[in-house]
Amino acid sequence: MSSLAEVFNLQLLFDVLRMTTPILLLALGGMITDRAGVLNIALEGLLVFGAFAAVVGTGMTGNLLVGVVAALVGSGLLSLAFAWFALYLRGNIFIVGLATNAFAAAVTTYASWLISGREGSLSYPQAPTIGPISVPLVKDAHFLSFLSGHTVIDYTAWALVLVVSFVVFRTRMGLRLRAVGQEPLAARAVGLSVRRIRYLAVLASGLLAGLAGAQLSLTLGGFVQNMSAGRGWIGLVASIVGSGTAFGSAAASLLFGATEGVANSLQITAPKVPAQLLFALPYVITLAALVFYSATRSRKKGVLDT
Amino acid sequence: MTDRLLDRLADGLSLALTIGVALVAGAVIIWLTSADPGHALRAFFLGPFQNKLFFGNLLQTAAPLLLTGLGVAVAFQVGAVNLGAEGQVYAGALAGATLLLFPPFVSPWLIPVAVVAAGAAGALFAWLAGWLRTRFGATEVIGSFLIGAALIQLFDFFLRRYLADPTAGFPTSKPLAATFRLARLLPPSNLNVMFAIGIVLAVVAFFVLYRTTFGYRIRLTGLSVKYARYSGIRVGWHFLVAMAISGALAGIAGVGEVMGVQGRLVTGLSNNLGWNGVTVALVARLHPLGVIPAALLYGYLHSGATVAGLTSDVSPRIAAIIQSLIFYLITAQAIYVWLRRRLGAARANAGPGGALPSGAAGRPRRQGGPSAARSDR
Repeated sequence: MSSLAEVFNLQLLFDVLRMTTPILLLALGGMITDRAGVLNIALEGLLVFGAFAAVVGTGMTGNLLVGVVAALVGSGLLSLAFAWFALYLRGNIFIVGLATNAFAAAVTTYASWLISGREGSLSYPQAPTIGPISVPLVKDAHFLSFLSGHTVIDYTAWALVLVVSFVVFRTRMGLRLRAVGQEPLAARAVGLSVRRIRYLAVLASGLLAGLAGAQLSLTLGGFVQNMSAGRGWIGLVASIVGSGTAFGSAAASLLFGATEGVANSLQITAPKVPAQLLFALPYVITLAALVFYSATRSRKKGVLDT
Repeated sequence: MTDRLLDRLADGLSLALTIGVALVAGAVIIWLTSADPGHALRAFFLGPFQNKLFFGNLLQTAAPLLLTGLGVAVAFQVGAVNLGAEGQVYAGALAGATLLLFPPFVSPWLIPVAVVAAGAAGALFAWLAGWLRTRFGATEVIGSFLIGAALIQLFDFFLRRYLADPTAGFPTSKPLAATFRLARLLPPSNLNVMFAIGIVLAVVAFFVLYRTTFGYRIRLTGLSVKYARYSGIRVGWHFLVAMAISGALAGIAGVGEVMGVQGRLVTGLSNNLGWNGVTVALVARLHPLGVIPAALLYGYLHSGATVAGLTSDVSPRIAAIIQSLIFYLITAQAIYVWLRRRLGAARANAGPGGALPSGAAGRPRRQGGPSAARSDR
């Protein structure tokens, strides 16, 4: 009996890691743009666009790599459009972000209808899905075995935590990024192009969101409307709650990934719990984390002051 | 011409340019994807005026958008962003319809009671998002979205668990008693009294916001929290009241859809009323009376797309693409500034947006966003 409980727990840990990946990638993107002084409401749309592009790319060619590249290119271009409307045409950054989400939802629905005749869902029966990688040694190491069997994107995401942390806090580029976010006027005075650095930051978040989208749709083997399930927002909150660091964002992403992992496994182990309540759970936990984080920050001024 | 007049003219032209660009882009997409573009384009642009049914549905589609657009605009006016209107529509629909599905007695007098219940439900959750901001500093931009997203799931839960009609093949409640259905004003279309209510509320909101002290305080809070506070205005209280009004209007839109159009609770009842309310408010430049033409424009886009979807090979989803393009361009300062310069040399400030809370781009200090709480860094 104890082994059964063990298997269940290891399976849960495995699911938690799997569910963490897209949130983690989005949180890293949100953290980079936040450091550059751009509030990235567009993450949700970038994620949806990446997920759709990955399915189309893989479906058309039968090649997973093409799908991932398509996701990166698609989300990257959409993020540049987001930056262009906000930075060049000087639209309100919230509103342009919401527009990006609306545009991604509308275009993917319309395009899936053009391609397959079905609105809001797209899959190619012959297309491959991203398979698991079993890590030697670890996969046999009993209670560490949940670390094995993930996809290449899962492992890349965790490697990117180190990369992003290093680039943002240990390189000249990262210093400039943070300067632009913290004191844009000072950054401009020393000759930095605030706009160019913000473009690059938004592009980085677009590429990360594209990778997150590829992870979502290429493991499932298809695109479904609403498959993003608010992860863009949850990732954004993870970057806020992670207080602007890569490791903090990773920790917050693990918390939100755990919520989704638990909600998923409850659907199987406790079928009496209504699915809709489990779907609502990640939003509630995310809200609780946001409120808790905000409440614990000491503030002298009134909360409505900006 | 005075500078003020030129400012307005430039703003109007940038609005027209935004809508024009979006419509042209939509037409190009139709032209590229339709096998018979001429027919599809005619259906899309002229269809809504073709007969009583389509024209009535144009007005009817505008009705809930009047309410959600007005609600989002009121929130913007106090400097709040209500991204939870979508969920508040569902909260209102659930509260109002539950009363009408299990009425203590059957009388048309229950209709206003249901409207009040729906407004209260919507107000509660918008207020909650505002309170998390004023009490804990958790930004209402994200908070209202998260609460709204959870509400949509909770709506589905209550519908499936407690209200579902087991004989129907999909999650839907039993129909409302005929007493509780709103009369059709222009049969066979769904146009009903909610449209008139929306217009009246827009006028009332205009008077309250622009002709009363209370409204002045709300707008002043939105323009400058500091200035408002030093003037002795209770900014937190006005912030919360405006959020509650915002949610109430969304909730009423929800129950209006149940009583006037669907006649029952169904999943996907709102169909983006909350999100489209955000764009309607922006097209209206946050002005209550501007909400009326903005909602009619959206009603036109929707019914045009519906006619095109019914009579040609175009997906009605084309409306959503056009709307998102308007969304992209609607706050673009650069278009306004460019037009203002063309009209005559003068200071080109103000521009679209007014009291819109801004993100950080191009600003010396982070503002409005969740990062605002991090001023100590």
